[in-house]
Amino acid sequence: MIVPMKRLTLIALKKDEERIMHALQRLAAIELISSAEARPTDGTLEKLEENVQHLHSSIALLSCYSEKSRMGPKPEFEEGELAGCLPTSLELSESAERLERELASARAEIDKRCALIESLSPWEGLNSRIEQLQPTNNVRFIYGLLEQADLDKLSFSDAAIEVFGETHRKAMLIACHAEDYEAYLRELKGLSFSEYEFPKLIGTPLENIKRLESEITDIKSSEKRIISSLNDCASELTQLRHAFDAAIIARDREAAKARLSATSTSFILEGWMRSDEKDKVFSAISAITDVFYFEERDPLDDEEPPSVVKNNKLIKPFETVTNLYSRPSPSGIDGTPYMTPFYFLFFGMMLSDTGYGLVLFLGCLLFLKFMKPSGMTEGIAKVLCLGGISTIICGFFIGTFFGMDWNDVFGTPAGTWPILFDPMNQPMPMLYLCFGLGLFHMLSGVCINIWRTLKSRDYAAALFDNFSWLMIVLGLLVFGSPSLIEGVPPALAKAGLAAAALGGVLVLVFAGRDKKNILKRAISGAGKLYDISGYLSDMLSYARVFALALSTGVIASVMNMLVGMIGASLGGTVIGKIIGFIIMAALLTFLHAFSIGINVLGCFVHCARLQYVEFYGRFYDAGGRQFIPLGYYPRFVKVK
Amino acid sequence: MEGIQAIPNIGVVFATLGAALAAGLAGAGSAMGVSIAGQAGGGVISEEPEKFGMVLVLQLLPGTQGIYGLLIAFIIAVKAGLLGAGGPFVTLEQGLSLLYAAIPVGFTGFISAIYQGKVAASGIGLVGKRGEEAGKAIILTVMVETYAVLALLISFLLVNGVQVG
Repeated sequence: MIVPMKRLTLIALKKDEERIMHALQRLAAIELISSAEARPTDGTLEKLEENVQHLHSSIALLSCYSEKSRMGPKPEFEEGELAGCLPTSLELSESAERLERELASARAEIDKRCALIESLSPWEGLNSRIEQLQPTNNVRFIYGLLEQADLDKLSFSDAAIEVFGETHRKAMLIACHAEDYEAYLRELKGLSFSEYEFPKLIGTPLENIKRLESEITDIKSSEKRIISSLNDCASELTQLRHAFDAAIIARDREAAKARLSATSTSFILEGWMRSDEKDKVFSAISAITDVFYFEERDPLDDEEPPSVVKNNKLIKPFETVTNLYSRPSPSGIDGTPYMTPFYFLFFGMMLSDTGYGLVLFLGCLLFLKFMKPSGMTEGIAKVLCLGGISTIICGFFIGTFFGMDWNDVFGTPAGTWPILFDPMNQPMPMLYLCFGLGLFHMLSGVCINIWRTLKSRDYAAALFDNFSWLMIVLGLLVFGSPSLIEGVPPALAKAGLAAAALGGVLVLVFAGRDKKNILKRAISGAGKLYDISGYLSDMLSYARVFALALSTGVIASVMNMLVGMIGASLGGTVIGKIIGFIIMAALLTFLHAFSIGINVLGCFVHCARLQYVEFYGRFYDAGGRQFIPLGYYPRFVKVK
Repeated sequence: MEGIQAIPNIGVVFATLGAALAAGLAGAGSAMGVSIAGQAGGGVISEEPEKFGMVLVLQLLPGTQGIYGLLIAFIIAVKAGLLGAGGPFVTLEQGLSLLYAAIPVGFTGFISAIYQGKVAASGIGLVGKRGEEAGKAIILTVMVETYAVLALLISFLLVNGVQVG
């Protein structure tokens, strides 16, 4: 059911603000409404946001140096405990980021030296010192690289040429007269020559290469040192994650404060709270101070409070299914309690294999016990767990056991099991069962809408838009019953037809009751009467229950048959039997696991669709907004 | 017609064709659908690897048509005796009926899987932008599958209606 919301206005002294916000965050009971005027910032929020960013980036950085975190439930902490590790972790994250910068610059230094060595290496043979290769008044030098093949094409009459290097591109040093310089350079440029400019270094190229190589060795050893320090930091990753959550909590609290309006001595807090939590909020604040003003009121018509529902433990998980569609509008009704039994039943009928149900039930139970998920994951796991129970039951009535016929499992004569009927051999009764349940499902939706409209005193809508349809659909059903069931008195069929006709007339005349023009009203009524096709197609939609039930059983039995064929082909020797058994066991496990996965996914979504379209379409008011109170939203831990 | 009937076991040929069409067409459609969705998934995962689980679920959805096709193919094969000992035997009428019965699941499976793949791809885009709305993306995608489910049902009822023996 929907919990009514209250709008809270709290005014208190500024000196109590920090403690009050702490208490409210711990309660997680109030969704704040931003005040109209922005509060001047004093840099605290920015500082806290920076902390979050630093921790986030250092966690991302260090995750590369740490082995994968093991699976398991999130650890639980007190808020104070968590905040305690924040200062040391911030230092740690700072040093991690510093190490990362050092690592990057060390790598850049290595790259720079490697490039230098590469460019110097053709000149290894040059015995002159680089700084001394300066032109004089009469002699100019040309340095560059030339293809081996072009060497012979050179026809310099008056120059000294030295050639170095092992590769096909030779380094060459040409010393010539100053007056020949331009002409030689032109000639060289016509060939594959590229000029070379020595970097500003001291000593011969070979000396430089040796020096650079020893420098690289030094830098590499310091790189190793940095990486090992990063590895040390990575061992503190857990602590960093906890600090990250602490930083988020502190940031959220500060951000909430920034949304309040304040004077120099007091602050005003406005927000939504659940009406059943107001005493809790009140006593939490009065535990801190006596000086405050506390006012709560119902929401006004133009205000949109968040949508909060409250259900018992069994129904609560199914809220997840509803939320996947949309939260209920605060002024509507919560559909989850009505949807739950149908979801439970249809899911079981769709999966309909007791073996699969057993696996699903136990799997989800173990997952819930050991992983302790929260939020949406927890809801879905619980829904599937309950769905597993439903599947186990439905399997006995209309299903199979790991794709095997029940009669083969129990050794009973054919036709004894399943209890109700076998959809493989009796498809039509199964189809009628699905349609019947579907009709019941849809009409329940109509009944809920009648109840809802009666409650809001909209009697016309209850009678003309909803009850009339109940008459039409049920009347037609009674009218058609003699052809399906023997012994129905014809008078009853006639009464059914009369009821349907009366319902039809009600729709025709009153569906367009808001229209003044009589012709428009009739057209509108006739259009509404056409909705009967909607009922028909929606009913046919329930055929999916049968189709999915069928596909589970048949896929499973096909797998059994295939594996059986493989097993039979492996021969009858003892070793053959052993190998065959191992292969068959492995194959069966894998294939059935795949089948369970794909079928559970299909059943979950198809079952949800039946609720959303066929059921909720008849009465549900969607469009509620999620309630996000000021609270703890950690990513890596749970806060007690 | 008599000429055709003179060919021994011609019914089995048609039944085999039916099984092949059911599994082949629906499987081909699923392969295309899953691939369309998978290509969209690669983009989202490259940005946000933690959304892999949700993306995988969406990518898998157009894969069911292939399974439905396989299912009908298998029932046809069993019915026509293609798998069991004792050899296959169906008459021409039975074989043709089994072939026709394969058409809904084959064709609807083929086309719906491709289109479902496209919806799944846009759903994956939605998950990339707003991860919390993954449920709605799944529901949109499943709407397309409705027709594959109905086709599966009709194919099954038709195959079931062919009396062999």
